[in-house]
Amino acid sequence: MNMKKTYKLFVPGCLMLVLLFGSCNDWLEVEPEDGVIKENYWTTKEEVYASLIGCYSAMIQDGMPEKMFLWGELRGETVMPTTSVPSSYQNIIDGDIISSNSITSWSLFYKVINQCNTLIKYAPEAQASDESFTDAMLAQYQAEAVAIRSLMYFYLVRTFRDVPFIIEAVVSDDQDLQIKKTDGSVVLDSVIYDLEAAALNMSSRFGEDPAVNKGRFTTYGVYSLLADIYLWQEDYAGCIRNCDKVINSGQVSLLYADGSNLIETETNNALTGLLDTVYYLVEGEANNFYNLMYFEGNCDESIFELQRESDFPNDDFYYLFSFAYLAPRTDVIKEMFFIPSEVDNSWYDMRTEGVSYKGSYIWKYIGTAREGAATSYMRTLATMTCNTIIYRLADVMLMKAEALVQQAKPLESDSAALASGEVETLLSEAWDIVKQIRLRSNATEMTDLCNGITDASNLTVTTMEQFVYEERVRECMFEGKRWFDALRHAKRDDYAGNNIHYLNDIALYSASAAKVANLQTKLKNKDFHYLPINQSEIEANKALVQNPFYE
Amino acid sequence: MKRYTLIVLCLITGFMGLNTQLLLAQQKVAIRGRVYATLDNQPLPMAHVYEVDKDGRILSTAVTDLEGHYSMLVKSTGNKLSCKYIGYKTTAVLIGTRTVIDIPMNEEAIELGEAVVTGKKQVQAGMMNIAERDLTSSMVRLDTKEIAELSAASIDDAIQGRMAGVDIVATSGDPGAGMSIRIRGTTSINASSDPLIVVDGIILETSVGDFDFANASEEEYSQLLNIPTNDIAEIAVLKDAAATAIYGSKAANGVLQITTKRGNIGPPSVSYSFQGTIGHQPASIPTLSGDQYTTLIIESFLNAGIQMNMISNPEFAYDTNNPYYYYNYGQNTNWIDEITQTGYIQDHSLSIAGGTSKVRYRFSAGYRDETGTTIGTSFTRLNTRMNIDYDVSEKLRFSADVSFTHSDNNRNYLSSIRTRSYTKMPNQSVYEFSETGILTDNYFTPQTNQQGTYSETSSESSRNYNPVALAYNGQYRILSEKIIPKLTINYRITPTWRYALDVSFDVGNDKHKSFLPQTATGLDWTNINVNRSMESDSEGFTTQTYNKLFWTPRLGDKHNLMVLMGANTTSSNYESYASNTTSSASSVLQDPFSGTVSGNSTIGFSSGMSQYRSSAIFGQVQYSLLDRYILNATIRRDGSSKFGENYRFGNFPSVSGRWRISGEPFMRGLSGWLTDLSIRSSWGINGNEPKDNYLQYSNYGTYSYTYLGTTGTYTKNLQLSNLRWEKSTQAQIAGNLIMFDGRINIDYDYYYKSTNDLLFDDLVIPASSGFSTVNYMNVGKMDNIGWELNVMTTPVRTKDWTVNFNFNVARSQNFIRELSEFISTESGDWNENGEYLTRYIMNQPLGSFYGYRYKGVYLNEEQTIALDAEGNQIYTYDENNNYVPLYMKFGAGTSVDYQFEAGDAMYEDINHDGNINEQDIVYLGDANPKFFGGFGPSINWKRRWSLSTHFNFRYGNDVVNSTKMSMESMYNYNNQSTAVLRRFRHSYETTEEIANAPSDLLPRALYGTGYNWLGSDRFVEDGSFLRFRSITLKYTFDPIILKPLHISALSMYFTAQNLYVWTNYTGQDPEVSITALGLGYDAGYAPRKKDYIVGMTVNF
Repeated sequence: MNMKKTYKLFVPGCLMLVLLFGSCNDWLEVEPEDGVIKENYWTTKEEVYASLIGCYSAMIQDGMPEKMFLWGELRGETVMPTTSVPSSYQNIIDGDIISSNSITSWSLFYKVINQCNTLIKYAPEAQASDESFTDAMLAQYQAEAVAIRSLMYFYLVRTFRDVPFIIEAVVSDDQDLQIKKTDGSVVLDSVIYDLEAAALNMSSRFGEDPAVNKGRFTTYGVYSLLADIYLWQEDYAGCIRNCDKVINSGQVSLLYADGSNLIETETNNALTGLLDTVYYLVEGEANNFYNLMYFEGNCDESIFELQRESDFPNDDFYYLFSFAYLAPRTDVIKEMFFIPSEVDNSWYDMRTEGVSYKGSYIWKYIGTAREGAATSYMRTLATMTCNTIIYRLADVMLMKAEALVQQAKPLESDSAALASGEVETLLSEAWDIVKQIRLRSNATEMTDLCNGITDASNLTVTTMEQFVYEERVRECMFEGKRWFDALRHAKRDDYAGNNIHYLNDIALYSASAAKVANLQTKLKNKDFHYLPINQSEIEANKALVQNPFYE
Repeated sequence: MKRYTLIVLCLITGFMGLNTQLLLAQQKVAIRGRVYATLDNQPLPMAHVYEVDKDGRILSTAVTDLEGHYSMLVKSTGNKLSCKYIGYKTTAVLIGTRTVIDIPMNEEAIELGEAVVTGKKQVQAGMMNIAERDLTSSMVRLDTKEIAELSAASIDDAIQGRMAGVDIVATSGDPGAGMSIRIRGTTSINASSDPLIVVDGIILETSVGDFDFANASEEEYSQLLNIPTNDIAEIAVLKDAAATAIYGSKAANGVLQITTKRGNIGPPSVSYSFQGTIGHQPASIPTLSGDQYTTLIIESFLNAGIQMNMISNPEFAYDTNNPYYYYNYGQNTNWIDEITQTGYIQDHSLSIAGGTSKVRYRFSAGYRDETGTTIGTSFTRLNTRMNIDYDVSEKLRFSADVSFTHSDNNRNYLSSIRTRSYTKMPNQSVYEFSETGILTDNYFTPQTNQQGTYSETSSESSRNYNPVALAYNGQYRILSEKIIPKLTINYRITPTWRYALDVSFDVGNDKHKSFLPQTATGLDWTNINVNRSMESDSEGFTTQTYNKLFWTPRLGDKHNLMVLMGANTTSSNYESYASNTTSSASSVLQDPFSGTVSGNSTIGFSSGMSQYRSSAIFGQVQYSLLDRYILNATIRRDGSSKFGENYRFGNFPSVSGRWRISGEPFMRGLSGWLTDLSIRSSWGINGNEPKDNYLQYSNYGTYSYTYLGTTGTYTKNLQLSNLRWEKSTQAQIAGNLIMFDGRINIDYDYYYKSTNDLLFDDLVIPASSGFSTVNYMNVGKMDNIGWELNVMTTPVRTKDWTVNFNFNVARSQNFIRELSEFISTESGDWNENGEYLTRYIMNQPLGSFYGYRYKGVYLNEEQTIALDAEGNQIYTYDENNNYVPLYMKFGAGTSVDYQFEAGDAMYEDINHDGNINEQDIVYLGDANPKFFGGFGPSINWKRRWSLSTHFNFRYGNDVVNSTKMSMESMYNYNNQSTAVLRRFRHSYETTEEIANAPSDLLPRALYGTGYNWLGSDRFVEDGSFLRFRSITLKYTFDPIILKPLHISALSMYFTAQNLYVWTNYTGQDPEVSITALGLGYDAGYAPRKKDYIVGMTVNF
């Protein structure tokens, strides 16, 4: 064996291997070619804008419209399960709520939240490298992200009460993902603080295109959200302050609010035999109302609605309403909310059959026109482009009315306030709002709780509270508000008095006959008013404690 | 770019050695002479004379004439002349200054009888060739001659049950279906447990791309189909860490090493073989006729308290006044028979092989055409392979292997079509009757009937479609091309140093095409799933290089040393494109081009791209002392682009040794009969890497839709900075015993494998982070313990008779040792019909499942009263203070709260509280087999007749008979098996009636309510089986008869496969693969068919 020769080969051989391997680290650094990674993102304002659009897109991803609808409506009495309803829906309706129910999953909401957090954190990096990215623009984008995040937390708190409150972007597995719950009220206080600050940086409009003005958060969207949260937090002054900013802005108006396009006529009252003045709808105007508000969307009244284009039809709503997992509970609706007029049966509320529902369909989403047979004017999956309305003026006006009544409530027992007419002023202002809403919809006298009252001094807080509450059902039917409205009324002043009846009344109609008693018993426990945290979340996050009723 | 530069450099340096010599060509000199035999001085005509340089490289040649004369121009007088002639020893003479050179040839002495065979058979163990008797690691080999007569499209099917410790299970009996291969058990909790496949030293890419298309068929396409069994010379399984350590980070699940056939020195030999197969589906489970079915459905409604409305359910009315429904729903259709056909396979393969001392070649081509037993399934394959070895000189050898495979696999659009056919309404007609009762050619496919509507989003079992229309009009087709060129350069630098370079390219294209016809779903034309078609293309391109340096010094007789050093790089690129369209005008227009793309996020176009790189350096030493003490050590350092900086590199060492006791001086006395007795032991570490790329980055993606006309971006994944290899450490002790000149050959291995940093994919993490799952996480530790026994015997070996008997058995157990607390340890709902609980329990195997104990049927109301532990009825006071019996309930106190009635299924009330709930759930079984293996005797008579058989078995595994569950539940509109004719139909009141009640009574039919089919031991069965896998009778013709026909060899055979299964299992086929959570579900897919094969092989 020639050792010399061996070494001659061995040493360079080894050297070559070492060199090869030394350069390997770079060679093994492979970055995706069909996407971009965080390190290469956040360089221009366009990227930040795309990321902001991503936050909005996340709000319409598959599953979001369904969850937003179900959390707000499923436990209400105006929707009814059909025979094809999934058992997860039926169990919530009947109060058989367990943590493995998929409806209790909040993952999509937190996905939106994390996108907002990521934008808020990294957008300044982009500004540093893009000179055309102004401070105002950055503040605007961040404010919109804050608004979206706040809306998500508002949904979460209303549904679960206490939730993990995360405002830091989660990027890597180095971070602690085991986050404890924060008290819901603390979350909302913090959200209010953020929103008040964000409102200062928001735009009030983005140009001429109504889709953009309604499809992105504007100052009015933020004020509406603030009003809603203040109302939930029982800060009525805050609510009214924000409602007024919207109502008095001059940027939004009720569709046909003046009632001038109603046909006035006199008709014989079937009961009294006297002549009554009746206002008939101009049919075409009602059709137009449906068309502008619900079929086309982004009407003058709208403040913030999630946009849908034909490139991404609303699958969720298609399956919900076309395959009819859920149908309108027409018996309850007709007996309680849209009672036909006794004066003249052909005089009707515009918001009834054809607008809110039609036959066994929830028509606000699935229809293409107010008139005609349901089967011929229904959207197909390809044309399922109905927007999801989050806030519109009528909603905000009724929030204000509710806040006014609640402001009057403690004063009713205060003789000084009564004497000074303070209570009357508040109630009459609320009444005016309700009247305005009712007039444009041509509401019938059968649903007018103040029917016959001519003088505002005869109004009582109890009547007005009920009146506003019922008017909200009529106005915002199937717009994802019903259960939250009822819960807000029930929990008010820490479930004072008999407030719980708001929920019990619903239970009477919503649950299957066999389950009503059981559900009403469960509703006595206020912990049951919130959903359990989903089982898989409890298992994945050891810092979480299951919500009290479901432990 | 760097990669290519490297390859080119290597190639150039390789050629340099050649070129320098060519450039130095000298003045040519003419030489002539005569070749003659020394014995009789006769001339030798047609003898070859070569000019050979000192490296043995041939520079010029000449052939002698009839007188034995030759003449030629030689390039250098320093070279040698070499002459070859058959029957004579090759002679070489130095040219020197002579110009006339006569070459005397000596006859070759034929002394075969005296020759002592001392050569050791070398086998390829990883990257080194090591004598089989010196192996320190565990490796089982199988010569494909043993399986040549089987009809198997891919090798895994053929080797099932033939190698100890290799558990192979078919996922389906349909053509082209993949198989699940587990070497030494399941080692990963839900990352891949598939072994690494190495073909001629090169890792086979088993997946084209890592993209997840919305495929209708979820079964994996078996990449092993790309290597036809006829091209395989030998298959070896490397099991322990010492054997696989050389493959480092990818080899934790074992290695399947395939060696293809190559040419040998000799005249061209042409071989043709043919196989024809007829396959029959075994008898199906008998189902109810249409009339029996209708009776059952109406009864199940009545039992549930519903009077069926015949106006709204005309399907069950049999109303002659409504002829459309009367005819269309008045049939007795056997849907299974309607979709079943006889399967045929024809397989042709042709090969030409041969070679000289310089060049050896083998060329093969094959064609296989397979028709499945389910209508609409088939598999066609065309393949060629060319393996060439060219010895340029004694020092330099080039090898080039090129293989090409084209395959076309047709499947049903839904793989569950057979399951659906079992449960499809039998009173429904296959073809539509008109309003007047005249049978038409159209499929009868209502959009909706009691069995529901077709919806892509719902589970396959609840979709309603016409299985016959789906089988004929629907398709799921996989077209695949695979080209693998491989170039090897071997250069012997010095007698002890050798350098080898392998460069291999792997080009794979897969096209998936699917079509869901409207004729099968009956959907409304506006529906998204009407005539929906999908086409996807994925292309993979992989380059692998291996630089290897071998050193085999001569250290005398006592020592034997072999050293290997090397480096390896892998680079893969994948690209894919998919289009989904819908609503083409007709079910005949199946191309995506005919459809439209709007309407849904799942419709449209998508594409992807991905890249992967890895590199490694490795070294291996094999040392033996006195032929008795053998040691092997391996180390490999791997780097992979799949990991972040913190965990990019990993080291994978192994050590193994062998002590040949039989070689010790004190054992000499036994050498008469003891050929070899050795003890082997090894220890080593292997890795397993995740499937996905780019996980170490926070990747941004775009939404597939726009918002306000802009496409938004989002973060796709959580950045995984801490992801690392799954590391498995394996130790084993093993022994080899060979006796009586190899007539008894026993291997025994015992191993302990511990897998750390278990990879878990799609792990659920707190959704509050914004990500609901993380692609991969290292979550725990699992152990595998087991043993393998392989016995090969030749009990009879006489002049005329040879009898062989081989037997192998293995046991593999896994235990979960540690698990991250973030893994959900339990799955399944206790209060849902049909669900079993599965749990991960520390120190218990993966694959245990839990449920209720089924005790039969409540025969009357009396029996539904709860019993206490002593068997006395429990009485209690109700709210009105009445003393009343406590009736058995299910889930009392929960939302379920169901009171059992006569005719309901009875479950054991373990805690005697009168309430069946999760506390009554007990352990029911384990999906892991206790033992598995195979055996087979073969007999050979006078080398003319041979009879070989093979059996394989699994013992002690429990299977959930899902088919039975869904066909005896009587809970919905599904058709049921004829077993339900024994259902409870009336209460058994008197003692006599009770005594005479049938023992196999089934619970009552109960539509949509009750708990008659909870996950209980009623559907858990012992999945043990012994399968008569194959029997072959083969006749080889006498070469003397064949000689006039110019045929050198001819054999014909008859084989029968899957003739019989001995089992207590009542379902179709107990051979089921284990799902991710470790449950074995038999869902009634096409079971193994019975095949009858005739074949012949002819050599020219």
